[in-house]
Amino acid sequence: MAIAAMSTLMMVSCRKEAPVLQNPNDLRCKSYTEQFQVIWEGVDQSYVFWERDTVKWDTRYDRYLPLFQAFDARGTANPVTLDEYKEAWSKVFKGLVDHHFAAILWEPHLKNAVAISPGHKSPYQTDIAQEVSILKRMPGISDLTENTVPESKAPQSWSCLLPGKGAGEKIAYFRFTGFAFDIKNQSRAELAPLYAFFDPDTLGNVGDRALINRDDVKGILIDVRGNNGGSFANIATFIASLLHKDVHIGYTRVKEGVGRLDYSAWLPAVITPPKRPIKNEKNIVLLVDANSMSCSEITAVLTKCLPNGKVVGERTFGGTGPLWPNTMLHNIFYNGCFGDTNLFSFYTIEGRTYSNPDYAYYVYTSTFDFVDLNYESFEGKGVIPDIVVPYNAQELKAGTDKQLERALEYLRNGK
Amino acid sequence: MKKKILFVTAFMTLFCVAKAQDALDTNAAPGFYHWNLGLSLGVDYNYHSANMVYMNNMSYSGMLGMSFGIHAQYNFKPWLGVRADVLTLMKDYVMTNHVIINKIDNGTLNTGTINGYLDVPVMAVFSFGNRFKVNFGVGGYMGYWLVSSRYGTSFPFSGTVVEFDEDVKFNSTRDNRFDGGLAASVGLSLALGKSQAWSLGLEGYCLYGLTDIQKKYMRNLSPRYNTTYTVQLSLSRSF
Repeated sequence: MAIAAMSTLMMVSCRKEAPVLQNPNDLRCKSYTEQFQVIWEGVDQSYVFWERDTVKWDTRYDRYLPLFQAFDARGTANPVTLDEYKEAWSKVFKGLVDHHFAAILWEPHLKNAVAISPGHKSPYQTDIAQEVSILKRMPGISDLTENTVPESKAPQSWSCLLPGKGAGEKIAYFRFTGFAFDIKNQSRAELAPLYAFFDPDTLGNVGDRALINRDDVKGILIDVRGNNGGSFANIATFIASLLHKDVHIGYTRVKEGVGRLDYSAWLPAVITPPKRPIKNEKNIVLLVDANSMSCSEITAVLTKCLPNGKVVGERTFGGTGPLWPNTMLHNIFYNGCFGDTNLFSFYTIEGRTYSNPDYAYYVYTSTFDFVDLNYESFEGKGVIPDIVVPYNAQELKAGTDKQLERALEYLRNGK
Repeated sequence: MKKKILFVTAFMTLFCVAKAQDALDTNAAPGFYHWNLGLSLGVDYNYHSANMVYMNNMSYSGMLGMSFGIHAQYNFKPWLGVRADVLTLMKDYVMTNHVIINKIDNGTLNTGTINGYLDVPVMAVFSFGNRFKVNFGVGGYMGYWLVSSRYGTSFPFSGTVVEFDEDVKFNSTRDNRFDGGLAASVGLSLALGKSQAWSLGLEGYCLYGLTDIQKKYMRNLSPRYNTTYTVQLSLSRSF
């Protein structure tokens, strides 16, 4: 009996203690080691792809903690160089599947930052200038509108009409380099192609004067090659103009908590048309390449869900996890971006003044995990087009854009 | 530490009182049977224990559920027996996320998780009284997490709160379906009829989980435990 009592007594104290965890948004790091530990923990707790990522994150801690401890031990006599700093962090993040992932790491002694983007390994740079040049020389092109505002903050964009199959028939064409349109803060001139393509006055609701709504337009071609994504709201505002009913394109989930696999339920991802939709029965082609990222890829998934939609071109980039770049959602769900958001501006806006006595950091990572209707993830893999046309740099240089030609062929002949 | 001292003191007192009663009952009391089999049905309340670390806006709260079970007890003495139950019970809880986003109407997102368990508590039972008995039990339990589902509200990428209701597929990396811990019970029973072969009971159980509901799949894992209280009516037949 006494043994039973003692055994019971011992078991009472068998619940494990929780580890001491700190919010990666609240921390200041005073050394290389602290910076490593805080960021490692931040990613450990905030990264949404742990279920599908193959990186052994615990092993990374054991392997690279000594490296950063060694940096601290070197002192001022043998300071760490920016290249060493970047190389060390590159090893830490190598292979993470999140293709949005970017860590911007501030080194206070060198007063400089490095940016590590392990997923940004596109096989080529889209030659937008050459592709647009070929477009402009196409026979029968008309109604060309482009953003010619110098130093425009709006994405570069072009809209025009291209010849359709029959006499007098047209194909409405729109190309843009990003989804960062801002109707409130960008000028009408900067957004001219966008207005021309969708509607000059009732943007978001397709009006009579929109290219896509003209009677002679028999097909719609949206070119997102080299489009690096941007605001999801602009899918809802512009691309959704082509819909006349809700389109269920897949599911999203977040991580609700600090456990790597503390996932929320899968929630339907639905694209909703504007208040005054049209019944668009014209064929829609989305032209993509390996540099079509983020919102471009979500648009590709949307296009595949449409009975009148086809995706043409090359497998996309593979960064489909929607994200909120500020840290607001991190403080709700404890996943997604964390750290000093000012560092992101330092990274993206050349010459931006930034200073910090601490080893500051900003980690830009997907807030949501996105899958299609079959629960297939495109993260790190990309969306495969319905009609695959590989990128060919030599042909492009010689003045032939095979991807554009194939997209037009489909719209003209329906195959 | 105080809890431990209290626990051991109570246990030893119980043992000594029961032994004293045994000394008085040199012969088996009328209505004493070695075997006792029965059914029980009741309600349970599960308290989900999780350290929320810095997640100040999130909390877990308990939920009511149902329990049903069968039991068998072997009595060595009128005052001492060993009882094993096979219980199906629900270890449910709600996670509330108090968010501060204008788009979210009521400022909270809730996820109710419904978990079905099969638990087998085995306890030493100390009984006092004759026809009307007061019973105390201490021991342990083992069990298995059978099913799980969840419902509530959450936040998709479109930014509008939506409702969900889904079966949860177990994740072999994350979910620890083995359940085990301490068990304690207190109950009243009334023997019926001349032979006292049938009895009605009202009993309360506490199942204090010592197994994290998650496997140790990451270095900085914050453990989560269930503690389940049941109140059930039982009907037993003695042999």
